[in-house]
Amino acid sequence: MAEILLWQVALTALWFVLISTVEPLEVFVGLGCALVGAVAAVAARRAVSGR
Amino acid sequence: MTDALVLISLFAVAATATAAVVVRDPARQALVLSVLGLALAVLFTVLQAPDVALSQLAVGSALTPLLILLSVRKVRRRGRREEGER
Amino acid sequence: MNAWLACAALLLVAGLLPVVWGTARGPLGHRAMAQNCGTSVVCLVMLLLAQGYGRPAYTDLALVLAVLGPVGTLVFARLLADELGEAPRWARPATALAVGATALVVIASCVATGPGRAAVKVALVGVLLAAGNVIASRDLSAAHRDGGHG
Repeated sequence: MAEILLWQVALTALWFVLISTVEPLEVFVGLGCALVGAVAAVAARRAVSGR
Repeated sequence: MTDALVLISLFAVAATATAAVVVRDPARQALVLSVLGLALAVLFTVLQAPDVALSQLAVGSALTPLLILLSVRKVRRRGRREEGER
Repeated sequence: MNAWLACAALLLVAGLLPVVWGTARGPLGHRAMAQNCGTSVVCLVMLLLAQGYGRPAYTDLALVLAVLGPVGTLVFARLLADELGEAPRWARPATALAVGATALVVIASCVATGPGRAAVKVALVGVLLAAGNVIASRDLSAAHRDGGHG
């Protein structure tokens, strides 16, 4: 769980660096995309280390 | 200055495209083709069409070489197998 | 007349033409390494053009290229592994030159944009480009040593 949160924070930071204008909608979309990315990243890491 | 940039990138595209035609082996052509994609992307950017350049980069830098190399490998393998059968 | 555009034009002439020459002739390993250098050259040209035209959005082109260019080179390194042959002697100097030029251009762009998210983005592109170039160049050299594996 903490791992997902860590990934989400990192990916949200990346999102904020890459977008052009910071506005509330962007924040929510960024958080959502970061959550999806975090889940995918954790799943990928488990798949690789479980090999 | 912008005219000079356009001229330079046009020349680069022409030179790379000529090289892609002159080189005969498909695997080597794939390498020249990926450089041609880069030159085209620069040309599009210089002509103020960054969206076209973006799609050119997205397709040309990794996907096109992958497709060409996979096809070349498959054709070669099939050729080798038919030779073995004969 | 704009110093950034002049630098971009200079880099195009001094960088892309040798890359085309290198990819069009010589052993396969040399060609692949030249293609790897081409990614760096064009990515830096994109960064310079973004500064020269005053359009930060053009940085996205450099970002996409910094991510996908090394991927393309890795595709060549994997699929041509058994024909690549020896890496050229100029592989190390060329990689060092590319990383140095990347650092130079990125630092200049960051200073010109001033502190802020845009500068962080340019720095990110620079880090990705330098890391990708080093990884791809190392992989091209290693592909020959290990022989074909796939």
